[in-house]
Amino acid sequence: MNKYNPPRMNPSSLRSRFATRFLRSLSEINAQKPTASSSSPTEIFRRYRRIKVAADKSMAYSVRSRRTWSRAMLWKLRTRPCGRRSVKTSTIVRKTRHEKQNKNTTTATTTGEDGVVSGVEADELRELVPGGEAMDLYNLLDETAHYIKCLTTQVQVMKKIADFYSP
Amino acid sequence: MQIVSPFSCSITTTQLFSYFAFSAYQLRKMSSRRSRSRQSGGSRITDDQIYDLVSKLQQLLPELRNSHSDKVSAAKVLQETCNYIRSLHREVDDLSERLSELLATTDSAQAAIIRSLLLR
Repeated sequence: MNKYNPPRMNPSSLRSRFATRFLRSLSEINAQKPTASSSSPTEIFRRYRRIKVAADKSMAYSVRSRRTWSRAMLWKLRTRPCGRRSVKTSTIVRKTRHEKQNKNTTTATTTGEDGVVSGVEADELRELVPGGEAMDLYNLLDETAHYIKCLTTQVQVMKKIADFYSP
Repeated sequence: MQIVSPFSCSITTTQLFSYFAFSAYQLRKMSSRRSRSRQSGGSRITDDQIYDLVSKLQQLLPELRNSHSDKVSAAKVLQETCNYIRSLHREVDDLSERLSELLATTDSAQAAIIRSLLLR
């Protein structure tokens, strides 16, 4: 009789690292809920915020500091709950404002077969990718590719979990 | 030589000079990095490298993957990338909302079951 061996996951892949962390934080969130009001809309909304933050945090921690966008996201997550502006925040704000002034003269335009890479779309991309304001075009494109790969992994794992939980 | 300043501690000229020199050095380093990336060709970042990155991005996008790369401009790739990232963010939002509703109705024992299933 042949024994059924389930496909083994690579324990150090991005997907398994993210899945472990996210499941752990999900069970923590689940343990916190008060049994009385667990179905009220406010409670659901609060849990939704917590799950979303947990998903982003798990993804950022799975990538560690290897990528600029993950470092930016980790820094954003660490300083967000405090609410007060520390010295570090103001210096970073001053630096990004200074670099924004420089950006007006450095919109990289490349003319080739693929046409002109305009600064407007690059600015839009900079807003979407965490930490994108301080990157030049080359690094921005590089970080975007990795960010998209991680986002798709995140969506796939969350979809599998949601499908498992749903009746 | 000492400068009499309105502050309680007095600052020497050497200290002031070194402070300004260091910040000027930092600013020059930042602006030189920006100007280096401005030059196309001849410096570290060439047009070909950017073109390679743009085509690599194009491979990741679901809509543009099949179309031939010559017909798609870099601006369109960037635009589609922005739209794709926004739609992924929306999907993450929807999934977290769905998960938060589902968590209200199940118990926590199942989380351990899933973990063992996914990671075996």
